[in-house]
This record gives sequence, C-alpha cells and structure tokens, in this order.
Amino acid sequence: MDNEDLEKLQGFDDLEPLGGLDEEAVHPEINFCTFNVGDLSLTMPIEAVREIIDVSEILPLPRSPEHIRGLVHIRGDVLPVVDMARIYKTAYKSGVEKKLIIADCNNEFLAIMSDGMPDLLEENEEGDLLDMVSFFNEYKVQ
Amino acid sequence: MANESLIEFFIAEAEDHINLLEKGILNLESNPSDRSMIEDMFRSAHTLKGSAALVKLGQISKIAHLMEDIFEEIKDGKKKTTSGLATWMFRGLDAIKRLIKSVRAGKGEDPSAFEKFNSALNQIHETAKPVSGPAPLETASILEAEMVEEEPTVSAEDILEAEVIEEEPVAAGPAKTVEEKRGVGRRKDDVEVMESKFVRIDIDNVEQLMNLMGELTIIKNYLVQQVSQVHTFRDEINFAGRRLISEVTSFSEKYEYSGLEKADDKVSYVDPLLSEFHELEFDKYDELNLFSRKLHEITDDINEAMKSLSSFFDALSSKVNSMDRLISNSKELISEARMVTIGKLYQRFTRAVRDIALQNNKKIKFMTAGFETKIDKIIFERIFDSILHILRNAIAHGIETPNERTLNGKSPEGTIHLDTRREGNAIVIEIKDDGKGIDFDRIRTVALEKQIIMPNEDLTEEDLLHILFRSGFSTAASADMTSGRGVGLDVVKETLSLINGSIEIMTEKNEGTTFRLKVPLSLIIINVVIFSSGGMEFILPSTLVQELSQIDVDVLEDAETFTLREMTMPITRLNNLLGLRDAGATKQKPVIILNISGKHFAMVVDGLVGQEDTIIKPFGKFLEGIKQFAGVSISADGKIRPVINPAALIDVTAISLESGEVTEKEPVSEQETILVVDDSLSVRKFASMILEGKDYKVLSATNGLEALNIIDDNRVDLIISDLEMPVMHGYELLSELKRRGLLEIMPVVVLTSRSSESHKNKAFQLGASDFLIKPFDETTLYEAAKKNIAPHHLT
Repeated sequence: MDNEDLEKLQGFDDLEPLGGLDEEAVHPEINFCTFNVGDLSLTMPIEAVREIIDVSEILPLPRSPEHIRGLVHIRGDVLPVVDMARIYKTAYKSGVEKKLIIADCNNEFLAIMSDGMPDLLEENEEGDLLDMVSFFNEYKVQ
Repeated sequence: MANESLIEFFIAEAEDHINLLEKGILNLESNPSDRSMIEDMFRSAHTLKGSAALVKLGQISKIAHLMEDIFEEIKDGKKKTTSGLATWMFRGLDAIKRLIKSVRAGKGEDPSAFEKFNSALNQIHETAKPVSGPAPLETASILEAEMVEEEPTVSAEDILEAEVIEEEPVAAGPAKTVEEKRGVGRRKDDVEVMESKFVRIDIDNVEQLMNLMGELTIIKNYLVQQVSQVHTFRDEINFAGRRLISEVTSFSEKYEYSGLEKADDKVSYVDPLLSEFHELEFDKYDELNLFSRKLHEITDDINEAMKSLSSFFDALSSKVNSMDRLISNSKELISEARMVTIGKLYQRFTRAVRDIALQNNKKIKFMTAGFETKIDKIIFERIFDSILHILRNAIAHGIETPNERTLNGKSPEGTIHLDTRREGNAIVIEIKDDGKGIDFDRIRTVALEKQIIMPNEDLTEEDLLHILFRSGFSTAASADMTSGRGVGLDVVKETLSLINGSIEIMTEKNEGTTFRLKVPLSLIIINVVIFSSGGMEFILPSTLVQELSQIDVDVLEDAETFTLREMTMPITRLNNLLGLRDAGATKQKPVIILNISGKHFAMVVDGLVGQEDTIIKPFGKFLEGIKQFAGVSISADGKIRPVINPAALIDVTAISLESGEVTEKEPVSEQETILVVDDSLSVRKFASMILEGKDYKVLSATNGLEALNIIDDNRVDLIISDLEMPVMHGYELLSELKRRGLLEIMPVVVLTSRSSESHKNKAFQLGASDFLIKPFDETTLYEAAKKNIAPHHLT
C-alpha cells in the first residue's frame, strides 16, 4: 500500500501531503547517506543507516584507541562513537553541529560522527562509498 | 535425611523417568519385539538409581537398579518381555511411586520395600517351579498394611494384584485382567503421585525473565534516586514555606496591629452614617486588613497543603521502598529458577576424579560437601572445566604417590575436598587437597628461566603464587609429572574474570593446597561497588572487592605499598592506570582492596559513590578488544559507567611499567569557581573583575536564594557573600548551606559593611570561613579567596 492509499484510508486525503508536495510528485528513492568529516565526503548505503541523532553526552573511554571517541547511551543501548576524523587523518570542523549516524553492521551498531546533517540521496555523487561490514572489521578494537 | 529441597528436585526428576518408563513398559508389553524405547528406559532407570542414591533414598535406588539390570538384559536380547515381566515392572514403578509419596509426606522410605519387590522378581525367575509358600503374599500384605491408613481401596487392589502375580507367569491370559485392574484402581494412585509441584521451563524463558527483571531493577534504581530527590524538594519547599509564613505573619501582625487602633474608631462610627472624614481611613483599614487576613488564610492553606504534600511524599517513598523489596525478592526467585543444587553436578566430577586417579596411579578419597548450595546453571557450565582442571592438577601433581605418602607419614590415600557454599553475593567453591603443597623453589626456578623475574628480586610467596597465573607459565616441564602446579592456570583466571569471579590459592608445604574460587550468584544482575576517579564513574563487581579502606593524601604522595592490618600490598592509582587527571581529594582518598588471583592490590580512587545491583552489559564486537573494561552498566539516571576489569588493567600496567610506557597525563588544573552574592551591582562587578583577573571563574547572585539555585547547577569552590540582601539574607544562606552540609566543600567568606563584633561572631558561629569588611581592596579579596578556597582544590 503506498502513501496515497494510506492517506485516503485514514481520511487524510483532503490534507496537503507532508512537505507541501504535489500529490502526483514522485518521491525520490533514497539509496545513500552522504556525510561530511572536515573536508571529506563519505557515503554509506542507506540500508546500513538505522537512524541519525543529535550528539548527546559522549563518555570517553580511557586508554582506548584514538578512533574510539567514546560511548553513547541511546535508549538503553550503549554504542561506540567512531571518530572518522582520526581514521581519515583529518579534523572535524569547529562550529558545525555534529550528528551521529547509527550504522548497522550485521546487527552490531556503531555511532559515526558527522559534521552537520548528512544528506540522503538517490545517487551517490561525491562521497567515498563505505562498505560498513569491512569498515567494522577493519577498525574494531583488536 | 537428605536436604528437603534436594528431595523436591529428585521428585520432579523422578516423575519424568517414571512417566517414560511407564510408557515404555506399556509399549514393550503390547509389542515385545519393539525395542525402540529400551535404550531410553535403561537410561531412565539408571539415572533414577543414581539420583535416588544421591538423595539417600536407598530403597528407590535399589529398585531402580534392579529394573536397570532387567532392562539391560532385555536390551541385549537375553530376556524376553512377557506380560509377567511387564507386570513386575509396573509393580516396581508402583513401589517407587509409593515410596516417593511416603517420602513426600515426610514419612521416609519403607525399609522393606526393596525386599518385597525383589522377592516378587524371584518368583518370575522361578516361574517353572511352583510358588514357594505364602511369603510373597505375606510381604505384600505387610506393604499394604502400611498403606491402609491412607488408601484402603488401593490396598485391596494391591492384594489382588499380588495374588495375580503368583498365577500370572503360568498363563498369558490373566495379563489382560491385570491391565484392566490397573485401569480402574491403580490410576488413582498414579494421579496423586503425578500431581507435580513443578513445571519445566525453557532456560531461555528464564533468561528473558531475568533480563526483564534487570531492566526493572534499573528503573527501580531510578525511582529510588528520584525519591531521595523528592525529599530534597520537600525540604526546599518546606524551607520556602516557612519563610513565606514568617513573612506573612509579621506582615499581618503589623497591619492587624495598625488596624486595631482604627478598629476602636470604627466601633464608634459603625452603624451611623459613615462620615466622609472617616471613610478614607476606613477604606484603608479595610483593604489592608482584608489583604493581610487573606494572606494569612492563604498561608494557612499552603501550610496545610504542605503537610499533606509531606505525608504524600512519605507514603510515596515507603511505597517505593516496598517495591524495592518486592523487586529484589522476585529477582532472587527468578534467579533461583536457573539455579541447580551443586550436589546434582558433583556426580560429573566424581567419575572424572576416579578416572584421573587411576591414570596417575594415585589413591584418592574424593569428599564433597555443600550439596544443597544452589548455583546458576550457566555459571556452573562456564566454570566446570576450570574446576576439573584444578582437580586434575591436584590429583596429578598435588597428591603424592601412595609410597611417598607413606614415607611422609601420611595415609597412602590422598584426600580431596570439594566444598561449595554461599557467601553473601557470591558462591565460593573450594578444592582442597592434602598433598605436598606448591613448590615455591620450583616456581622461582622456572620464573627465572623464563625471565619473568630477576635473580635479585625478593619475592614473597604471594608474589610467586601470582606468577602461576601468568600466561605461558607452567612448571610442569614436559614429562616431569612431579613438578609444581600451574598448567593452564592462566586460562582458569581468564574464565573467572570473564564472569567477574576470582581465584585464590592457599598452600602449605606437606599439608596441601586449597584453591578458592569465588563466582557471582548470577551473571545478569550483580552487586557492584560504584566509585569515581578522574571525574568519571566506574564500577567493580563486589565479588572482586575484598575490602574498602582509605589513605591519607600526604601518605599516598609517593607510597608504593599500602598496609592494612599487617598485610602489605602494592598500591595502584586508578587515575594513573587509566591516564586520567587527578581530581584531587580533601585529606583522604578511598582505597579499594582487590584480590586478583590471590594477590592483593590497593587501588586508590577519588571517591566512593555507593553500591547497587545492576546489569552489566558486555561490549559489542567492535569494542571486544578493550580489555581494561569488562563492559558497562547504566546508572539510574542514564549515565554510562565502565566496569573495571582489574585483572587486565593491572597486567597491562605491569607490562607497560616494564617497557616504561606509562604516560601520565599532566593534571589539567581546572579553573576554580567563586560565587559572589551581593545585592549591589557595583560590588558584584568589582569583585568579579578582581577575581577574574586572578584566573578564577566567577558566578554572581543578587541574594541568598539565587545563590542556592546557582550552586545546584554549578560547581562552586568558594562563596563570597554579603549579609544584608533582599529575599534571603547572608545569615539565612549560611545556615542553609550548613544544613545541606555544603560548607566543607564550598566555604563562605562574608563580605559586609557591618563591622561590629556581634555580626562577626554570628557569621563565624554559622560557619563562615572568613569575615571581610567593606570597602575592600584587590589584595584583601584575593588573599581571602586564595586562603579559603577548599584545600582539596589546591592539589
């Protein structure tokens, strides 16, 4: 059932669709999530993105590798926050609001820090495409 | 008589076996050539025999043994199932059921049950011969006589059946009758025995329940914390309420008093026409008086409301407290569901010990105790190999050969005790042998060979024992079976540290060695000690904490050892281990005494926070490699608290100390914060300017109440306060800070234009640290700030 049917069923058909789009408009399909780390652009397949959240308090984990920024508590789960700047030898921009992309790597979750809100795109234009499973295996703490 | 609960478990288990056997016998009876079930039946009878013996139900055990033998013969095709045999088997089962029933009723076993049953079997064996005398009937009658009390009808059936047995082997015909009889009379008995008090639950379900319980515990912890906050709120509301009442009272007294004079006037001019002259006066009196009255009434209402609020809070906290109790009760009950009595698990060792002893040509008396101690099945499975390992070591290396033992004046038979007991939140398992003890010289030699220690190192026995747990250390050099212990003890240590357990060794030359394993009661919810270090909160499972103590900061300075009641142990500082800045402490710092594989360490932390039951969440795969922490727990208010894994942490430092890698971060000196409380803007500005110029962080408030709000949300190291201020004056602020016990950590310097001795005395009496008189200059203020700021911030 697509959105339109749902809206009709629920009696919302006379309401303007979300975002004021024309009902006929084709919603672009989202396939990729592109985010910035400093000047770098990285892309994840959208299947790997569980959610994007604001940065809450990150607890640093003493004596852990540099690319582990710390731990974050999300609704009862504790996830590692990955510092992409350390991995890609760059630096996060100051003054840009940070977001955490919760990435699903075969049911193991990582919080990946991004400069600003990531873009959700149909085509991957600029970012280096990450394979999250191999990323996970490469950077997990040995 | 064996332990009650053990018997309960036996009964539950026995019922399963009886059911299976019953089904099997029926099957055999109707189809003697079908042997598909005989294997299971044999095993059931075997287990029944073993378990019954374990709970000292000798009669049941013997009957089951006999049945086991018969099943074996049937299995091997040595015996054919005749209906007579089937009947006999049923009789056996019935006898067992009756015994169980009598045991359950607290009457114990009928000591002649086996005899009667056995003689019944002999009859079957002697089918060809005529039945020898009335003996079987007689025994049956005796048996029934005992049952009469309870079940007269059944006993009649039994007598009948006993008679049938005699005839039965002769012809196949009567079997049907027996069947029928069983169908009517016997089942009643069955049903009663089968009325089980037990339900079998998948361990996964229990696991899930336990997880839910864990979540519930966290929410409960949150509530408990909230309640204590509610108490603070209540106190604050009370405080504000009292102030309001006193203000209003003095206000209304003032106006009621002023109104009173006019009331006299009023009387004389009351009913006659109100003269214009008095009208103004009257109005004024009226409004003010009414207002004051109303205020007073409102205040009374508030007072009442406050009282009910207060009792509401009291009721709430008592409810939360009882919920707290209920949750811990349920938690225990659910954990209990996963618990098995260790006695059931001892069997697995008994057999192994016998085999190992044979292999090593040792004579071993294996003694077990603490049958009824309950242990989490999952924990037991995890440590099973470790215990077996220790037993194997004890037999192979600890206990001497019979010859050696005789030479040393010991009995040729070595003894190994396996004892389990509960100690608080932990299960303690002790494996004790009376062998030759651990050879310290041997450890030293091997440690030297392996360059673990230096020749000039002076090591205590404790240190040497600790070496045993190092990975790759093994004194059992090749075929030298007589060498000391140490094979794979590092693995044992690792296993235990994974489940937050610990191990300790005590040994005495020629007297023997004791291994003491300590494991938590449950893997999911465990009791932890919470403490802070370097501005972070950490936890340690209580099972690892031997004791809590404290140390003077000036003693700590460059101390390398810590002595507690004649026990001297190395000091480790958690801040250094983790590379955290020293958050500084007042005069003393807490010390956590850890027991890591038998060696004691004193770990200095910054502060103790408390103790609670919590869930430890292990790290996911991404952080698996992080060894210094064993996972995290989430506090009631959502804070993440890493779980210290001392075994790994202290090993890590031992290694990095050798390679000189300890990178101690420079303690970052944190800006100290001073709160200036004064109703005059210029005083606040001037003081701020001076203090900020001296690198202090300055916050300001215009009165006492504002100041209290600020210290709730900010860390404040010193308060500089005026005395006369609106809303809440300096004295009130002082007494409130004193009430909250905050003066220790945020001393108050009074800064006032009141220079009289009486004010000064009152201020000091209320706990002020210093008294400055306005006007003030830069130097006096700075000096006073420097002098009075809480000493622990001077690091």
